[in-house]
Amino acid sequence: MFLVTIALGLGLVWVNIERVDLAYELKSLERELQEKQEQNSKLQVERHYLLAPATLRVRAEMAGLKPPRRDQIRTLE
Amino acid sequence: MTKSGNKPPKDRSRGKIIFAGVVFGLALLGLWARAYFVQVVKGPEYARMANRQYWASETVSGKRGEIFDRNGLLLAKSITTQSVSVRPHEVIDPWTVSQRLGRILGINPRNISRMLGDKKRFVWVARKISDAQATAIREEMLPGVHLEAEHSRQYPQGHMAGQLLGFVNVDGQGIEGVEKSFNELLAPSSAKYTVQKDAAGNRLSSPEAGDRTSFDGQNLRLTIDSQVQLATEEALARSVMNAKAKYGMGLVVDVTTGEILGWANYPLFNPNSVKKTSGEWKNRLAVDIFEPGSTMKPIMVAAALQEKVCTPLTEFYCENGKWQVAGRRIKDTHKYEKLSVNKIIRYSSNIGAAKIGLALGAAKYSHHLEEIGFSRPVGLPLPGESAGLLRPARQWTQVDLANMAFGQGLGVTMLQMAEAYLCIANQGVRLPLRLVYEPERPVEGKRVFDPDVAAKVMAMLEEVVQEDGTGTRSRIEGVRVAGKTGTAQKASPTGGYGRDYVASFFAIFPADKPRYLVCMMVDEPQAGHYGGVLVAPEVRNVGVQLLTSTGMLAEPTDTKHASQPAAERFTASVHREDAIPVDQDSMPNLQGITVRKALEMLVAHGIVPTVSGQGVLVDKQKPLPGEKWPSDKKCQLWLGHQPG
Repeated sequence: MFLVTIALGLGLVWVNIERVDLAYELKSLERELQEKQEQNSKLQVERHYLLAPATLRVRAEMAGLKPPRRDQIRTLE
Repeated sequence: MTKSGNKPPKDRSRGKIIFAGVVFGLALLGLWARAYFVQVVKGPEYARMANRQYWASETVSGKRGEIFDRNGLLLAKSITTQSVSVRPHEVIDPWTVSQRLGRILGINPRNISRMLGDKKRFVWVARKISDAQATAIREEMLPGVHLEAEHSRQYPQGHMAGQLLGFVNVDGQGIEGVEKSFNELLAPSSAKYTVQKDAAGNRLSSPEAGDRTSFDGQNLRLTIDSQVQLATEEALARSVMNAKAKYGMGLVVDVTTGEILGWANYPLFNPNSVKKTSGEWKNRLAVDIFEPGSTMKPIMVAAALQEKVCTPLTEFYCENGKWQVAGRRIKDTHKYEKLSVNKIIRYSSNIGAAKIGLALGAAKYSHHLEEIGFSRPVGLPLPGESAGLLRPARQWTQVDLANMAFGQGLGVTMLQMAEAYLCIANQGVRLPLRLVYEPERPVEGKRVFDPDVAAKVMAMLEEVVQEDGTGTRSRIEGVRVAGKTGTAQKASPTGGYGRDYVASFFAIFPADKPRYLVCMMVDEPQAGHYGGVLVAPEVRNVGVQLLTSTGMLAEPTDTKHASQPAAERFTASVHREDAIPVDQDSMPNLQGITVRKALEMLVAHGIVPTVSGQGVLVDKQKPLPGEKWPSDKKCQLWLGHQPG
């Protein structure tokens, strides 16, 4: 009975240590995930800024492009 | 002799043992007493103290919802940014801190020094700094300098639909525009959880907290089309600048659904920098009331036709340009004698319109105006939408009725006018305007005018543009356009009408199968005041872009094909080959293949050809098939019209 109690006590301590270790690890992973998500959000904003029609127009004009004339448009299906 | 006198030493060990036993017994009793005191008497209190050390309450909150245009282009999104704060009492070397922060943040170190000398316990040095700056500050590890995470609302399209989107305050609450009216939908939720913390105060993960994204606000999708929006904003900006006007508004509506595709206010407003553009955030399209002027005439005529007061060919005498009604003079820009109703609209005769209005009567005209939606907000989910200004018909005098017949003496919003024209374009059915993209929601309208009445008014509006009317500058070759010009005098603050005008133009593209309604207005133009001159050309430009982007407008010059529907004229079914042979030594035979395929083949050899002619198939080419690839990279393709 005494040995069983000792064994259960040690088991409880071990489980608690494991739980705390896992909690640390999980917290660290959560922080990393949050940072990645934040970075992803910022990159999305940057991407949409670069894809904004007004931005594209300025860049296209700098590259010498201009809207097509009506006779330059062909619709293909 | 014996040593009987020596007594053996007294054995005190027993006493010592008893003494020691008593001491240990008392000590043990003390320990038990202490254990009892700690565990039983003070137990609950110590347990509470321990819980305070081991457990902490943590608030988990999500992000504000995102706003998209109808095509999924991001219009607003919240991101986390860092802000720099300083606790002056923790700073050891103020000079070093101010120098280093100043260098990283681009702030004068003297200003930071002044902040550090402050007696406050907490000072913001810079809000919402860049990631690079935050990293640099973190690496400096300056004592007393802290980085705090804050949510920042970003509008990646810049000024696009700025007034419509509105903005949020530092706490992330919507203050203006859609951000305000949809605040409940967009706002994130939050919840409190108990988490364990270690001796150093680090908080451990809690399974209760779950997925943070479940606390995010809901996303919102608007009916706005960014391409249309850009075209509208650019056209409006040109119109306001050319007219030297105070401000302007532009609206583009899909006639078939009532969805708003473009919503422009000028001067433009960038919600990313609210402080720099104070005042320009006013959403005039929804808020401002103006006298519509001649753009109201078609609505009045529709009411008169509905009430069978006249027909399009009924003639009214237009008094050679000057007419007195109850002592008030009404003028036309040109002298007209007899004009039929359709010509009253075509030439925008105020006197003719006044006479139709007087024949219609105040009660019937007022009834139709209310039926269409004047005198109440159109009901878009926007803050502060105006109801317009329309007095009850019983208060109207003869002069009021005559004035209102040509759009003076009543106040309307641009949205109300757009809804009225939408009703005409939709065969007399009033459709509610839509701002939220809900393609599954059925389009439900209410009939206000008979279909033949709406058709007659549409024909009159077409005459304004296609005949010798006031809106000829909005003509587009190959497409029938319907429109109406407006040149309204503005009421003077001192009473009566002053010298300022509101110039506007409403157009429907194409007139035979209405698809788009474009409304534009400029306030107090200084370079003239006619809507047909100042605004119509830019409305036309918006129309050209709309029709071009949807394939409803293309090659205009060939009258041979002008009568054919656009879809037949400019499209052809394309059979795609699996592979394009680009490794030939000489010019391939491009004749008879589609222009797309020819382009792909030529571009693969670094040649961008000059294309001329109409149609989608290559008719002739230069260099000819079999000739060498041109060293100067020049190639000409002539297209032939051979659909399907």
